[in-house]
Amino acid sequence: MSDIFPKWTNRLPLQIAVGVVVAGTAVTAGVWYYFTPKYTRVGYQPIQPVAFSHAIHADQLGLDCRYCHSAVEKSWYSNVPSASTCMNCHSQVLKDSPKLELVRESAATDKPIPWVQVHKMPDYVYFNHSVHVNRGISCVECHGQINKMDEVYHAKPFSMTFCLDCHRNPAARVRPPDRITDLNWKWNDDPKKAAELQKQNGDKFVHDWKVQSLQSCSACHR
Amino acid sequence: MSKTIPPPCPEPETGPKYWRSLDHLADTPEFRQWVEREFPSGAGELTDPVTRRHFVKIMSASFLLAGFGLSGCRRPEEKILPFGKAPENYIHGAPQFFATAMPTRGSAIPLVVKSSDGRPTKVEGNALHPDSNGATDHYAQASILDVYDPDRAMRFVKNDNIVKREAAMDFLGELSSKAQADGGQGLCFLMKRSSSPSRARLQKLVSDKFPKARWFIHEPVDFDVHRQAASIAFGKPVRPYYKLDEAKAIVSLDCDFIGGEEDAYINIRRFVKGRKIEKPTDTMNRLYAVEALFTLTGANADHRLRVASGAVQSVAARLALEILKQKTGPGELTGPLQALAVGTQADEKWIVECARDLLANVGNSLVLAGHRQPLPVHLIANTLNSALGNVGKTVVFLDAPEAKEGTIGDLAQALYSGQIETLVILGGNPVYDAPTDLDWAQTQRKAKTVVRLGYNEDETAETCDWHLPLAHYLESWGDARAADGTLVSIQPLIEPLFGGLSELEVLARIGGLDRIKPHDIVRETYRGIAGDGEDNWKRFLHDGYLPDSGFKPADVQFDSDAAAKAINAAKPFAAPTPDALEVVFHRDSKLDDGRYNNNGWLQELPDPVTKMVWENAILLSPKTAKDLGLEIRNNENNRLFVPLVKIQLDGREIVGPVWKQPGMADNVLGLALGYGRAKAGIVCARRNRCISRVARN
Repeated sequence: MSDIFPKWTNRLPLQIAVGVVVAGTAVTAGVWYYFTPKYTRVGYQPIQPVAFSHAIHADQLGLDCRYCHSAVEKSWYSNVPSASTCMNCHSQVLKDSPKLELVRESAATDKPIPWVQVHKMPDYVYFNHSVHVNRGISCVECHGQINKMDEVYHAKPFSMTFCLDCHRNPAARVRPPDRITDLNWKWNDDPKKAAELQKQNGDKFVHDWKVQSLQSCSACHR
Repeated sequence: MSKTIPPPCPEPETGPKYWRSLDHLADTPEFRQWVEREFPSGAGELTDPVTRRHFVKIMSASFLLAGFGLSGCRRPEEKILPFGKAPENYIHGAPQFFATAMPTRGSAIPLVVKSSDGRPTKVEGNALHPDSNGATDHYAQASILDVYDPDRAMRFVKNDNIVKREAAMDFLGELSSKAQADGGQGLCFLMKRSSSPSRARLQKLVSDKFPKARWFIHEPVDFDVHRQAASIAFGKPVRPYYKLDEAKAIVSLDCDFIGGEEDAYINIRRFVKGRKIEKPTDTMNRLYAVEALFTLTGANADHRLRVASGAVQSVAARLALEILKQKTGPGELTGPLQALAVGTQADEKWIVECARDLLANVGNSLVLAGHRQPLPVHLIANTLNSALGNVGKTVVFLDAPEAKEGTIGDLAQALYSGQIETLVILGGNPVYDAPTDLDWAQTQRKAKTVVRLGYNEDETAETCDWHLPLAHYLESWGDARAADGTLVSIQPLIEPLFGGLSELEVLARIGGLDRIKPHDIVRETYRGIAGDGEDNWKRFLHDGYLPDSGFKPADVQFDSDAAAKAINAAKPFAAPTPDALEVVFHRDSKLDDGRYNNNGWLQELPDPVTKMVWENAILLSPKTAKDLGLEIRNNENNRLFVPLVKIQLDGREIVGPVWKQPGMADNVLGLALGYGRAKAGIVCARRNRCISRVARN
């Protein structure tokens, strides 16, 4: 009696099993890596209509963030400055620069500059800038070192775990309120010492300022 | 699928048992079954095979398929568009609050309105205002929705053609120059009541300029009778202002002072203040209510007498006799009162006890008459208040300018005699709410040109030559006087959404005045009242009222001769029978006189007494329903139901469902105003069961 199946089929179940494991691992790994905000958001760097450099303004010239983003301490929304804010300086500095054509036009005609949004919260998440900024959470915690960016890019993932990591342990991030917009600030140049000071002061700040880092679902998904 | 039934509220074993409806009281097995069903019988149930669930199943499959294209995975590029020039003090995302006021018929409700990114979003009372203490009513709360009413008038219309705003302004200018030439011959204005000093000032300016122009006022629900009666009784133009918190014994003669009367929002707090017990020695006030319908005031009364609306005068007269007998002895009032006090034998005991309580609280009692009651009843209330020494204590009288305007009846006569060339209707909807015997749609056409400033393109708009959109009070500058006479500011939170005009601007344009901007007009009026000064004006706008601008109580002397004369004019009342029913038209607790017909929030609000929403019915007492043979049992479920009925009066008829309302007087029908619109917005139009409009004389 001849064999119905050739001999190599004996190895088929094993091959299939290995194939499934490999493919499954690949898919899992792929989704794990590519489908998360770490990949989809971090590094997003659209070209803006005006070549505005935070590195020049904030780092080199030392402008405070709140000179332009003036509502950040008062509203859930951190405003993008009006063109007239730019013109406070640029009516004298670089006043004929072709790069600022759009800004001058906007200030003159009230036609808005179409900045491209980089950091975007989904509609189902409530985020309040003023609450965070007034409780010792620096801009840098979420936006990264904006003061080093020529063109703004998305530095942090903004995933749910990104928010929760901090909400579960705010003491590790809070800093003196007058250092909120100083993005280069550290407790100490020595990382070991800095960690020690953060630990010492963090708990005190959380207690003294009544920081309620809410973890209930409805804190953000309201 | 069935709804989750909340656990039944445990009934106390002792004490009074409460019930929510007649069915609840009877507690039949059919009623229990009805309570447990998800949908009442007759409600539209989805029996179609394509159910909502099925639909969601199919849709989720489609979404899944759509997902294979990964069309949702591309990052949408969104723009941030900041201002070119940032407005001063504006912070995106942080709401701003402005003091303003909602004008009512003869008063105003001081408000603080929240503005979110330039749009008014929430109304609250102005807690700074000493008289209102931050209270509002449901009309004020819901009025904000009207700003965003999709059916409000949005365009300037001339003979059904849309015209530019400028064309309409030119037309008003033409009207003005014509009136200037002939002194306003044939020009007349039909307005609503208003407490605005600016409007009064403009009206005076315009009539000084155009002495032949004529002025008329129409309000389907009018609270002016309080002023009229007080002016007769005290011989000078005054209106009553009640201090319910000081009263220990209160008698309401069909006066729904915590529901359908003006400034009820203030009365509610005052009344409750007198009922609050904080120490064991505190006493509660007592409320006696005499009424035909079942109102909120009646529901709160300690002693309630249900009599037909017309019989209130008999009870009032009998009560007055009882009190005058013991206070002042026989006088010129005794005769006329005796003539009125007929048919009260059945309620004799109630009246005598009530009188005794009033006499025990001399200077601490209060008698109020409702706006539906005729002048003599109000005069009896004034008589009682002055006999009981309440004047100056629980009720004070404030100066109130005499209204010299004609009524809509006078206007109809003038129209038919051909004296009127141009009719300017400022607000209101007379084609819907004028007495039907005037047949207003035809009557107003007797004028050559009809110009109307209206909030909706409604029944009245149909037969107008010009229709101008009216600005909402949250869009316009104005002023008003609150209940105690305090000057309150009305400032806009937003530019008129559709270029609407305020009443002040139209008046000023027709008058050809120097100042036509409403802001300038209001500012000018304010200058006349409180003097000049920018800080002063800014403080007024900021606080929303001018401190100490309320009227001082007038020094009044009761004139019993005048009261006797007015009471003498009243006719004795014949009690209604099942063959000759009495009809009471009442201000609707939600739609007012129909002005809020397109307001979904108010439509959705349950009536405080019947609990009805989105609906209107003919109210009558269970006994009347039985006498009229209206109680019919449904064969299917053995439940009682009442059919549609037809009410006829002088050849006119309306059809509507009946609602049995326990607590109503027998042989009385309650018909709410404000329903049965022939032409209204989408919210009202969806309700096909609006009772048709009825004659009202």
